[in-house]
Amino acid sequence: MERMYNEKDLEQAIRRTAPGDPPVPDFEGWQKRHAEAVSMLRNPSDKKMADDPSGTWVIRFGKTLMEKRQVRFGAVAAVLLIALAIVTLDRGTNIAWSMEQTVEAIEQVKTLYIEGTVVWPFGAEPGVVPFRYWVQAPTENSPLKMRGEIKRHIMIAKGDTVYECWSDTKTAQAQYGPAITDLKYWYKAAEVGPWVIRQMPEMIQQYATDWRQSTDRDPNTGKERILATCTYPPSNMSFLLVVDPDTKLVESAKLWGNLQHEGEPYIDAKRFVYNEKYPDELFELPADTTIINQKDTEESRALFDQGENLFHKEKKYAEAIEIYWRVYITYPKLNVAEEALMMIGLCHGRLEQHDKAIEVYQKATREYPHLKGWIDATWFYLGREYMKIGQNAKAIDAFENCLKAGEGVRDPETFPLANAREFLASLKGE
Amino acid sequence: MLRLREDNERAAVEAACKGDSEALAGLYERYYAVMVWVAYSVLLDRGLAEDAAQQAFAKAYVKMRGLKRVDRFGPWLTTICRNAAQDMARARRRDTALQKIAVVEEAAQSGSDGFDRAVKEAVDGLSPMYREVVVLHYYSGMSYSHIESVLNISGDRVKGRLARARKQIQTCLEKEGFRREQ
Repeated sequence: MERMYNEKDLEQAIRRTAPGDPPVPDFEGWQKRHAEAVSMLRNPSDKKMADDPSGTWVIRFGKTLMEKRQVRFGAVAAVLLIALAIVTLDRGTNIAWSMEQTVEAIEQVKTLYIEGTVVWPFGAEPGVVPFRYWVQAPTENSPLKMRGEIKRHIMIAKGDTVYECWSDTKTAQAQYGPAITDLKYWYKAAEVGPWVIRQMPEMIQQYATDWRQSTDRDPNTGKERILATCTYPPSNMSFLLVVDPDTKLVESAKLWGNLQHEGEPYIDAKRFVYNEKYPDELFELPADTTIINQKDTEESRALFDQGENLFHKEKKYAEAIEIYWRVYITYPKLNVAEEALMMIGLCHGRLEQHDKAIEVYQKATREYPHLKGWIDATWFYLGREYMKIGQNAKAIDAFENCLKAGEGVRDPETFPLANAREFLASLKGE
Repeated sequence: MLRLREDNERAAVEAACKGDSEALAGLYERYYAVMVWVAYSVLLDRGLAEDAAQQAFAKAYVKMRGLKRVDRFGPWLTTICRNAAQDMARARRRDTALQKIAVVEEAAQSGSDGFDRAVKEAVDGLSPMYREVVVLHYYSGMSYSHIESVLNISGDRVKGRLARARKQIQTCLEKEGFRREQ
């Protein structure tokens, strides 16, 4: 049966669909987050930084440092490599410092291990988490190798290829040098320091300000150590480096997202270990890992987008089901397969084929129990289908599984966790 | 009135280029909401749209001295914002898709007789060019002349796009069983 509406109804409905309250500008907050842009506009001398390729890199590095997961990951490495380079600066009076000595010391470093903590803003439970990071310098027979671990996220780089994987799945995404976007800073850092030592000190020397040096004694060992601090206003960052006066190498380092060296450091590198020998396996993926390349990812996404168009725009759900099945069958190891199954379920739901929808959702939860992309949403939709056919006990189980799957991954106040809690309360009569 | 606003804006842009904080703040406050809605029309995600708008201002301020037509600051900023949103949409399409489904789902739960859900789907399903004017007019409450100045298109084109967008929405609604009264 057709339902009638008039022009006013339509206009009011469009306005009701606007998400949230009207946007409110917060210029002060924006200035803090984008200090480099404001700085460049206010201080004409900073413009040369924007025109200078190396300066641009430093600015962009700082700007994106805290915004992207992969960059954050690489940033741990990159910033600490910057830290290593900083100690090569001859900043004057301290007798423990000598550019030549320090350069010589760093050039002798064959491997480097760093551990500490990093502020990790991703997922539903952002916080300070431990990281570990290994670097092995390139030799005539072996490329530069790096491995980083933050939570369940592992990245391994060999030569110009980076593998990004998760410890609880058996797939790794391969990213090749030229195609890397988010990881370019990691590479850039690897290129410029400490193995190629000249460029970075020059950049830091040019742009970092407010240099201070002092000495104190390690409270545990009583050994003298050098404390060096500096700030980098364009990116609103400040550093503390603790340097061993004998070896001229960094013992620990901190980076703050402010110019005052205050509060929780974004990166707190508590321990540096130099020249340990690493087993080759350290830079290898687990033997049974499936490597997914960029081409597959792009092709699967293009096919998936056809399904998305049919679902969202054309509302041809039966045709969309065929496309989504092709995605699943052709690329079963890719995350998009899990997403495709969920979409097939949604299509069946729209076609009022609830049994089929349930069957597909169950298949997805069986086959992809650990994937964190869509599994919580899949459990949620399964719960909804059970509700539609009156199987409330099963719906409760599904919503509870949704909450478990999304815990620590998704913001609990957003879809689907908030919605699952709402339905659970309703089903339990709370 | 519009003329006066343009003159003021030109002066504000020129002052901001010289590092005037107040002028900078004035431009930010004047355009922030509009940029959020421009980005939203691409991203369909309010949180991401705010990020994109802020990034757009950062990019714009860095490049501001190179702006040749200071009288076209608004359209220029809009283009930067739209591009920033498109970059973000490509980079985060999984999350965006999830949000899209979430919005549909939420609308389905709360909509009166499914009408709001159907309208939401129809608006989200518009091509970006049409969605942009719908979002600016209905979500942001901008007049035709204001949209005209921000998008740098004629008033007739604004009206034309809105009319075509409404027609497309009506077509979608018909498929969902809703018919407009004559």
